[in-house]
Amino acid sequence: MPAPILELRDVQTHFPVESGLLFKRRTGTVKAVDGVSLTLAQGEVLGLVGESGCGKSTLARTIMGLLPATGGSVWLEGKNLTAEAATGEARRALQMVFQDPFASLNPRLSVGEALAEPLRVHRLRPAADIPARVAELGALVGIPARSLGKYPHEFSGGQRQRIAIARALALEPRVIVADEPVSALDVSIQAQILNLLAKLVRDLGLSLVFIAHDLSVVKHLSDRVAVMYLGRIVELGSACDVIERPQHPYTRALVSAVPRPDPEGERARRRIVLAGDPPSPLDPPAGCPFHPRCAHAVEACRTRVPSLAPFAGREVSCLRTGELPA
Amino acid sequence: MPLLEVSDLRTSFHSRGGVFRAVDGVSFTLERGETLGLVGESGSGKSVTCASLLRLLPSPPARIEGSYARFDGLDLLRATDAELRAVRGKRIGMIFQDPMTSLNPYLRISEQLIEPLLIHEKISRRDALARALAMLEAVGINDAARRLHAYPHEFSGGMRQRVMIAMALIARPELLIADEPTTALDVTVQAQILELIKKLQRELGMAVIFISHDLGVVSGLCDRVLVMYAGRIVESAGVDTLFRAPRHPYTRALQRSIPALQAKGVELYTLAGLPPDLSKSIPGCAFAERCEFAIEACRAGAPPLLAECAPGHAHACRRAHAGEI
Repeated sequence: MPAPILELRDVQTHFPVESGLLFKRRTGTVKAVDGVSLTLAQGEVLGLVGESGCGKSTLARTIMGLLPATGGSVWLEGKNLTAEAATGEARRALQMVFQDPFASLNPRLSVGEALAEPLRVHRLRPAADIPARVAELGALVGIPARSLGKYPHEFSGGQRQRIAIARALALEPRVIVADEPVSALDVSIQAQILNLLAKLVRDLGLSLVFIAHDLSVVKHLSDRVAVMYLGRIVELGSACDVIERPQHPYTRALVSAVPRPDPEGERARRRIVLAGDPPSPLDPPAGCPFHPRCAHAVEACRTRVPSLAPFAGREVSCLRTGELPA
Repeated sequence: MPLLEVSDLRTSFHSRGGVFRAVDGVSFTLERGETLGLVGESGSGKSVTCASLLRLLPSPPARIEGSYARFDGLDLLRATDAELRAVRGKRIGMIFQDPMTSLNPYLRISEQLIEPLLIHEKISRRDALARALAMLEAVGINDAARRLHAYPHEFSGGMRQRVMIAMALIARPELLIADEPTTALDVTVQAQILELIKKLQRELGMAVIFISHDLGVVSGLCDRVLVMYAGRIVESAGVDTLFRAPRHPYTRALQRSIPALQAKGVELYTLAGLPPDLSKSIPGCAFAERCEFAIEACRAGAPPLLAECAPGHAHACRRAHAGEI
């Protein structure tokens, strides 16, 4: 197996919780990401799913260095990004696309200026060559050259997301982290962006960490899927395995909760409805983090913390794998 | 007699930029106990249709016109304020999309829950609180007795949406209008809320208008579905027919663009262009600009009208009616 292009080794992102007005005391820790290990191969799309608050966006920001990892390390093409010495230059091959294309573009820069800025900052092109490269980037995502003088407010949501993707591509990254890039878009526009991302992975050999909460979207685009719950990965495997034949009780509930556009199938379907909300990461339950909502929990689940172990062609973090009904 | 009969509803917004025809001639009926889905993309007029029925839009800029919207004999478009007040929150309940902004942050949950009861029913405060507690339990809030007097900020998003549902249902309405009630929620919480709406609907026998952009949600919940585009209904059918044999090119395009109905990794169908600018009058079919089947005749003349192609199945595409598609 070739060396992974991106590797996370036991990454932790903990936030201190302080109280007191003058004399701040540390009263607790939110373990938003708590020991995540992952690899991403060249040209691979890894989907990251889970409910809000499970830590998927925090993990994305930690990979990007937007949040400091409080433990573990992130490696990009053999370089340790979490090391003290890692500079912006080392991170150039890693770029991000954010959820809200209305907030992630500078309203005072025309699209052409926004695309030229990273080229100038990183001195990737001589000044004379920048306009040609900007036009090339626009063409790559389907923004015509005559629109490059316009400002973000003149574009629709789908076009803005294309521009945000073009900006991420400006520095010729090897890996893109996309945090819910289609969640704010209507279905017909969502399809355009999904097709574009698939094309970029295919044509440019990009690797993609793709975060979404819509499982059908994740399955469509991803080679492998990681399911997160309370800061940990509970199931990791090929997209078809994980979403069509989920093993972890949480993945099963998640898959079963997704409504399908098939009226007859929906009526016949027996849904696993989870009780309550996900627990607060401020006060996670002891033992398996999922046990308070799990229909299959036994006494051992309250005390022992499971870890990812190979099962049925993927990795599952559950003490009762193999004992559960198929 | 149907519970609700809407005929040629037209709602426009008058601003300095022009007149935006957000809803342009919408007609439908709803029987008692029926669940009607209203789907379409942002700006298609789904929410404005429902807000117009309850006259919740500030005027100006909104102007509501139309033949009538009869709710059990009362024309909602022409009712007096007093008549409307007697209906809103009592016979018609509404759940809004965003549970974070739809509750009053200064009032305890208990005060907000009993408000419709104190207004609409001759009931003592004590009995109203008992009903509120029972309702909170019915919508699945754990430890309801302690939570009843909490403030909205002490609740999570899923719990606030349950409170919104409890508020809409506490006066046992005959019609519930739910405007994207689960869009802001996680799928696991969405599944809980949808099961809850189904269960309460069975128990109370109420009719539901369910607005959503998610075809999956609609397929599991609704009896009949209206598809809206640019302020008009373009297709109306029973839920099975709509998913098995959609006729209007827009409905077909929507289905071909969602990954859930396609094989993994195939290129998704995409609609070219953008929805039309509603401030300009559009000759012919509003969808023609983006339609793969459009011919010259589609872009001219009066807008195509909704017409039946089979009993209970109507659409507004002239070419599909002529058997050309």
